[in-house]
Amino acid sequence: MIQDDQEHKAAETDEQLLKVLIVDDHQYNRDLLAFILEDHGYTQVQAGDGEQAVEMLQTDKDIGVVLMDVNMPVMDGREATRIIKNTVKDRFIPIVFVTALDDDETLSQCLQAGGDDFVPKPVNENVLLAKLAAHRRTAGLYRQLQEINQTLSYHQRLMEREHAIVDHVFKKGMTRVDSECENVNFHISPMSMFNGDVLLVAPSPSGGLYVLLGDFTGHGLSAAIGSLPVSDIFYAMTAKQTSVAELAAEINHKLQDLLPSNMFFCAAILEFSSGGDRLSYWVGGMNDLLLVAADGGVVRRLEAQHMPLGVLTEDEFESNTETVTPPPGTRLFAYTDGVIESQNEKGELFGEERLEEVLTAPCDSMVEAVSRAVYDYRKGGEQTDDMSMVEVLCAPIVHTQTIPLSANTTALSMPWELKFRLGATELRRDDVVASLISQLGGVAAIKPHLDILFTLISELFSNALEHGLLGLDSSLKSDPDGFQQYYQSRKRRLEQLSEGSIDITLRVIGAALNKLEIVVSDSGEGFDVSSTEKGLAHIDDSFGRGISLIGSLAESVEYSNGGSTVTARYRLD
Amino acid sequence: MTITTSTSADGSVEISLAETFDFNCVEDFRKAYESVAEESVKAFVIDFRSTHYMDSSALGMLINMQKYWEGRCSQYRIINANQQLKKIFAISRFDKKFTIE
Repeated sequence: MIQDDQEHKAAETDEQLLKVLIVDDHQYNRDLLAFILEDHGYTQVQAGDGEQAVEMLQTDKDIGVVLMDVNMPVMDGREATRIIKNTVKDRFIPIVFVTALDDDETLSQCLQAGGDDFVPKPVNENVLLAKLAAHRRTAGLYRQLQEINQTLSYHQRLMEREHAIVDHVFKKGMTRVDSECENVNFHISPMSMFNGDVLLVAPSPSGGLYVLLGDFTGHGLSAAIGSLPVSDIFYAMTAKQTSVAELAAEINHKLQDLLPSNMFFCAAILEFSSGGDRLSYWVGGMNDLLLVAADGGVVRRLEAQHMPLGVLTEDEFESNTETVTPPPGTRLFAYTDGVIESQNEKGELFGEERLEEVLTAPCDSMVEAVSRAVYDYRKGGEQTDDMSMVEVLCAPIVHTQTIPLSANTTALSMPWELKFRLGATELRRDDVVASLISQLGGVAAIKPHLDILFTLISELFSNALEHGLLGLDSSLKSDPDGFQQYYQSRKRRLEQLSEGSIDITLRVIGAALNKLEIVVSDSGEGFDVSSTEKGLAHIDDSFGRGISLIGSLAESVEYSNGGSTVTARYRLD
Repeated sequence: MTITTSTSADGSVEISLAETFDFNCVEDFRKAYESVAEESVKAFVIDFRSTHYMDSSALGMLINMQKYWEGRCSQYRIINANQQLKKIFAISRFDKKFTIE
């Protein structure tokens, strides 16, 4: 009894508002049950038949348990139970049959209709209270479960949506192999939706190739997240022909700032020369890179010289790289942990030895041979880590589909013209052309041409200044000392220059706005082009290349005003 | 504006250029290749990694370097030049005297 009391109290405290619906066609029976319930702190409502009970349950959301008679007019207890269980879906309402009938047939029908329990008539008070308490606990558990389910499915939906967004970002920004390069062959097999492995490939401005293969600690989204800044830095810096050492230092610095201390990035950063015969590498915390002979067999292992990226501070970081010059036809093979840590059904690792054995035999694609060997070894077992590998053929690098530098530039949208008048003071500056070029750097359609335009404008400007205004004689440049003297007297005469000017006009022309017209005119006497520099210079000459360079770089060149004005047109497409 | 020179273990001299390699570099570049102490050099490696801009005097400087070392160095390599600079080397037929990598 004491136990019961405690149980009732406990039940009441976690379920203050429990309301019981008593369904019976006899007032006397209802009153009896109501008396017991109220005596023990339950609130109760009553219905005289099944139909009333169904209606009350649909309107009164506080009802937590039903005590149900079996035989009643209008609608009996079994029918009412069936309807209640089918229509009230948002909560769990235990239905306890209160009945004098004890034949198996009736009891089984009540259970089939959805009843949860029985209390025999005449009702024993203790049995009734104990059963009510038990059903209240069940209902409480059910409700908790439902709340947890709702929270879970909310978070699941949230996560699915976020994953979809992140997946989109990753697909856009990450899986960029910016070069269809014939020398490169790779295989990436993430263990989950997101990949902790990173493989980035980009052409270098000099026609070579950059490759970065790395592995963040862990896998899945948390590991993949670090790959975004890595990819950003990689593509921004490789486009500028940055050295491997600078790339490593920059990525390390960024990750050091960004990653929690238990997370870091094992990586190999490689740069191949355009001939494919010189390879600079920085390797931190990765498995040995393998150099494989043209006819198979590992000939050299390039060991990691450094700790993984994201571990050391800027001061501690060592960015020194090493360079090898593999014979033509050699292939480099790099891979992440997932390859050698693949397990067979006995839990044994694939290991480096097996990997090198696979690479002993000559094959067309090492990547294919190794991934086939790993899958066979695993025999359908589960992948436990991200697995990536890349091979690069050390031979002249062939980019089949290099994204051209101008791919993302748009044509100029309107014609424009820029005019500069440079007087003696401005002309004394030694960065005239550089500062002019920097003005053009912001124009997207011109940006990819800046290097060539620098040379072109430099030549046009130098001719106007050195011959037109300063009257220097190129033939002075024919020996090394004279070469230097020429530029010394250029400097001296510029310092003495008190009057004279050079006008430079840049204008966009052509129906498609795809040409830049450069007009340079000097206030000097003009000069005879043909006498100053006679056509193509001899290969050994240290001078006389200016005019022919202009001719080759520009679409057309015209001299006027006795040689003091030159108009060159350059194609921007 | 700095030009740096270093000698590697295999006896080649590497000269690294700055962003602009033009007439302003005439003296510095000349100093760079003339100050090499060795009697003969296995190879001169000119690194254009950082270089974007170049004018025709740059070509003159390179030719002068070859004249200075004539008979004492047989290999001259230009490395890491971007495609646009390579185009200028090609137009000037520099591939006949230099290995353009």
